[in-house]
Amino acid sequence: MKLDRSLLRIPSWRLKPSSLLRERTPRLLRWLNLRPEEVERTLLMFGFYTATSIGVLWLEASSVALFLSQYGARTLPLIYMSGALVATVLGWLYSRVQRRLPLRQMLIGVAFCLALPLLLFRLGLAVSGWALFVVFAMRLWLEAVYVLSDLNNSIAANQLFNIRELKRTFPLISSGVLLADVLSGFSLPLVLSWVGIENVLLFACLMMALGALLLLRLCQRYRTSFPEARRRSDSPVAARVTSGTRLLRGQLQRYSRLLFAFFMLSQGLYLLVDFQFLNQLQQTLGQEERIAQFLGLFGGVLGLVELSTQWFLASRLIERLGVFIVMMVLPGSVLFILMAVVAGSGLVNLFWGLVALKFCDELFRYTLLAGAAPVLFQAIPERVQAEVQALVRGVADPLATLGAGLVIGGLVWLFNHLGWLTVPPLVQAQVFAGLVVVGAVAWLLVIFWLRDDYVRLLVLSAERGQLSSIEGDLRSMKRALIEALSRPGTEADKRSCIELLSQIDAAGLGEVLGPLLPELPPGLQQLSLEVMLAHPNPRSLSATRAQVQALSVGVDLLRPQGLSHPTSGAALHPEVLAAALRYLWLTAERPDAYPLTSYLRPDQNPAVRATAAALIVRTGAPVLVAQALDSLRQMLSHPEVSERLMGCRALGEAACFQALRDQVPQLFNDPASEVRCALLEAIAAARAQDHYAVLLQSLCDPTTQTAARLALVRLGNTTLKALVEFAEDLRVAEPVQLRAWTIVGEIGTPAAIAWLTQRLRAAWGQYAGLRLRYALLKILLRIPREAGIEGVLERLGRRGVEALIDQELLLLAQVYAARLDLDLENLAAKASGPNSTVSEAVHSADLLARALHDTLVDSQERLFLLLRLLYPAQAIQAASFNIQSELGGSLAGGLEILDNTLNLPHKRALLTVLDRCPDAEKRNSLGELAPYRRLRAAERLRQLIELRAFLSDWTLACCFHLARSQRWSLPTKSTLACLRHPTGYVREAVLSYLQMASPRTLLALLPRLYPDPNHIVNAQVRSLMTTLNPSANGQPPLATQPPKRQPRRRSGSEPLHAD
Amino acid sequence: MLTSVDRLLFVRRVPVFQELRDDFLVRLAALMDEVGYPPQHTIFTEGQEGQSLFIVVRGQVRVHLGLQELARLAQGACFGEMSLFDSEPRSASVTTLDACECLVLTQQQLYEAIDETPDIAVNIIRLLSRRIRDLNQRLNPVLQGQVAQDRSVKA
Repeated sequence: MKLDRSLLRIPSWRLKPSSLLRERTPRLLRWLNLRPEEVERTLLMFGFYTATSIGVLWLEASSVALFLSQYGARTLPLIYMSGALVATVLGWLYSRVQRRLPLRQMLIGVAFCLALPLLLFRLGLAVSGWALFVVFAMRLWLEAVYVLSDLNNSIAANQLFNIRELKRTFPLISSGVLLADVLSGFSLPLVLSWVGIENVLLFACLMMALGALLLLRLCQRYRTSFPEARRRSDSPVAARVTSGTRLLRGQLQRYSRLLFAFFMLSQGLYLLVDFQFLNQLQQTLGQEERIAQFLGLFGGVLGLVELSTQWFLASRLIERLGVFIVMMVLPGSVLFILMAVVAGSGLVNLFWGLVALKFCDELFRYTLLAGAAPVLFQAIPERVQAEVQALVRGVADPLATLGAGLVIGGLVWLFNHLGWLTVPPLVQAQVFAGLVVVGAVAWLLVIFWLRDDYVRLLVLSAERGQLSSIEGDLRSMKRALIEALSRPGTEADKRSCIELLSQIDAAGLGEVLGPLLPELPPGLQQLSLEVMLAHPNPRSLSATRAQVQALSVGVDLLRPQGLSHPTSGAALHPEVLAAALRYLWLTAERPDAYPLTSYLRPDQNPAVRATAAALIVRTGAPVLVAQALDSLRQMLSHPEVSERLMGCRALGEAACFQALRDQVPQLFNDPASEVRCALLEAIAAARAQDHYAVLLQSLCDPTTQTAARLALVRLGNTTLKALVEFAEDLRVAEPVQLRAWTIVGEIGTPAAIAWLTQRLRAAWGQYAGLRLRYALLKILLRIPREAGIEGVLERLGRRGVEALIDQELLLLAQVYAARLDLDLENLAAKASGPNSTVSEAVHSADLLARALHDTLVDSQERLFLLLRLLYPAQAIQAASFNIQSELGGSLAGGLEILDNTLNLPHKRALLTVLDRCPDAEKRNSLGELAPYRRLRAAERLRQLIELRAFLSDWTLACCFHLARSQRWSLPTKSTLACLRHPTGYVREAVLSYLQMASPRTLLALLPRLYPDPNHIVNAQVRSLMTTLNPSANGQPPLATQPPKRQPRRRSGSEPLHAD
Repeated sequence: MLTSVDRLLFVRRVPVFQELRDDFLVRLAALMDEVGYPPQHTIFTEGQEGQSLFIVVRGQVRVHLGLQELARLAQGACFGEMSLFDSEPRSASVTTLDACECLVLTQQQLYEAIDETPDIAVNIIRLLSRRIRDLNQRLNPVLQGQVAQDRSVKA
């Protein structure tokens, strides 16, 4: 029998670099923030973006120039209005076609369709009398190209990259547009002089066709990302849009309206400036070739400045000034330039003033605004974010275009009635400038209001625990938190505010919390003092110290005479007083420990006494230290728990384990678990290396495991290696091992994630590996800010994760094959013989059937976890919830979500496996991964046992029970190997099987199997000894060696030899 | 001593464990103690604090309040199920009728199993809520009848 070894494939640790990268250094990729597997896709997308954009920009320059010369700027409002109509109609048409055509065909079709009419336009321009119509159609087509090209580009990028990849690759891809600005701009004058303005269209067509070809290549190269099948029905995600929009209530609704106004004003202002600019262009330059040349150069220079701003300035400005100030730059600069042009007329030439205006508008719009605007949507809860974004961007832009077209058209009509030519250009400009000023001021106001609402929403999100996903305007948030702290409110709310403040502005904590100290309740006073001490700021230290001292009522804590009767802080809670003492002494430049000695008196509260002793040990002279240590010694051996508890805390604070080494060992066995926990905390605080092993041992004790966990997390990388070794120690119980791995995840450093990833990869094919893989996946997914996911992708790569998914599919293939070939239902029915044998046969078949079913369920769960490494958690969770639901409709919904989300090579097989269909169909769908050959039931069972390392312990045990009840023979090697299995019930099943299959071999083996660590197996061995060798009378042999148990993680691929 | 499979088949019959997976149950069953009792032995008495579940593996026991017999339990039956969770005093006494063997699961053993496999707790919660729902459904007609009776008395 040939064993199917396909299950044993393990994904490569490091992926082979693609051919493009073979010669390049990884440093370049790091600089570009790319992963090797993303390079080819990113480059192709970059090329597609750049080629298409060059074509569109040439089309824009030539069509605008021809339009201005044929129609003049006065007709532009008509274009704006019909453009809005065209954009709306085409957007709608696009979504309709998208449902009817496979995505790949649609994307490529649209890309070519955008280019082809340019040829017709060129032919039309050659026909006399058609030029007027053709130029208008060209200008209108340009609007259509803007819309469709934008849709096509975004969909292609979204299909090709998942959201995490997109964050890294999209800035690079989108800079293709800026590069196109430069290339098309500077080349246009050359092209114009070479072929003339009409023939520029042919070049534009050529570039757009080149873009389409690159897209075709992308679609062919990454087939799985672009499904060929039509969408079956409306996506459930789309269905959620409507339900999501219903959730927009209150604060969120107001914010969404402001966002809508923001984008409307942005687009409106853009069109007003554009109109004035083109109007001046036409009046000043006149000829279409000159206009096109000017536009080309303008675009080139603009592109260069945009590129440098984007690469070197934009992100820094956003980081330094915050998104809202950056967004104010555009309307602010527009106002400034308009004042220079109109108010100070004569100082600046009207034409050049408008060129500057247009330049600033384009520059800031496509760099600062484009970078900052997406942040506005981050305050919206994640579940409705995409919906609000689509609604706002999809409706606001066309509506603003239509509105601007109507306003400009109305004004032009008015000027026409007054006589367009008789109205001086400056007056016309002043009227439009007035409009722009109104728009810009309104825009500034909207930004101001948005800022307030944005902060409120962020605070709400933070209260819901969603802060980790927000990269908001932290300055505004800090202000809001300070306000919340000063207002009356619950202690819990204020505690959250202090914790949030310590996360977002640790250095400024003293300035904020110091003045508030007297008004806070004791719990918050203590917390404030602790966080201020954890993040001292030299700038505000003296002021904060004075405030803390003032809190400690009346007596100057720093003067020894004041401490002769330490009544200081008598009104304070002992824990607050202790925290205040700690703050004052630890932040003092030259701390004097002497005043603290009076706090060592036995009548002082243990918390204060312990703190004083710890501070003296840290800062005092040897004589005082001896006194303090003596006090601590008494505390540690005091009969009262509170004394020992505080003593342990002081141990950690003073880091004096060595000095008190005689007292420490007895504390490890202290009857009070809180004392033992405090000791563990102290070990971590003092970084007492000698006692790190105790931390690991304490993980086995339920009363101390939490304290040990916190201590190990606090120590981070320091104890990581020991922790990993502990987690891999075969002598440690499995639940404790999993607990240790969970702590590795909580540590969450890159080193910890590297260990987890390495283990995730290696867990396959080892006993208990399936449970470990499940646990590791959950641990990795729980690490905040998706660091676990990033870590796995960094180390295994997308292909590595796909390989893990394939392994699960291979396992499923084996299980389905087993269910088909074993036909367990019939096997039980066919059982014949004495009643007990029939009952045994029925039970064993039923047990294996249930075990195989559970294996399938487990594998599906692991598959969903693996999918979350590659795709948005929300989508996968929704799909998993729907698929696991009992309802047929929900199952279809879940599969639809997966169909629209996944782009895996074996997506179809995965969907079939998750669908509710017969085993045979599921097995067939997996045929590409692992071909199916029908086997006799006994042979299939033998194959299952060969794959023992990939099965759960219980499934393996059930296989032996079935073999026994059916009297099937199993391979000797595998049987003997399983006799050394680490799990008791597997050994027990093997012994039962051997009793049936080979009693003589078993009899020879039995002495070596006694004693067994498992009490049930032990009893079974004794019983077998009596049954098989009555002369022994159930007595175990006197000289026996405990059998060597097989290490739990021995790979199933290795040959396993019997003892 | 019972084998793991025998133990599993017994444990599976306990209502709170009925929907749990075999691989969880077999581990839980392995933790249980197998205890033998002589005939006429009182396993526990009414009012005694209880923290264990018993499954009759061999023999027969009677549940009684003083001398009044409430029920007889044979192989496969279980008693003391609820005290696993609430540790309340036993509501009746249990005495063996003949030599008995029982599988005993203590609260501590169950908690350890839950710690290892939290799904057990989820399943138990599901079952207990279902029981409350059933009780409510049974009680509703009784209560409604009571209300109707009260009204008719008042009228």
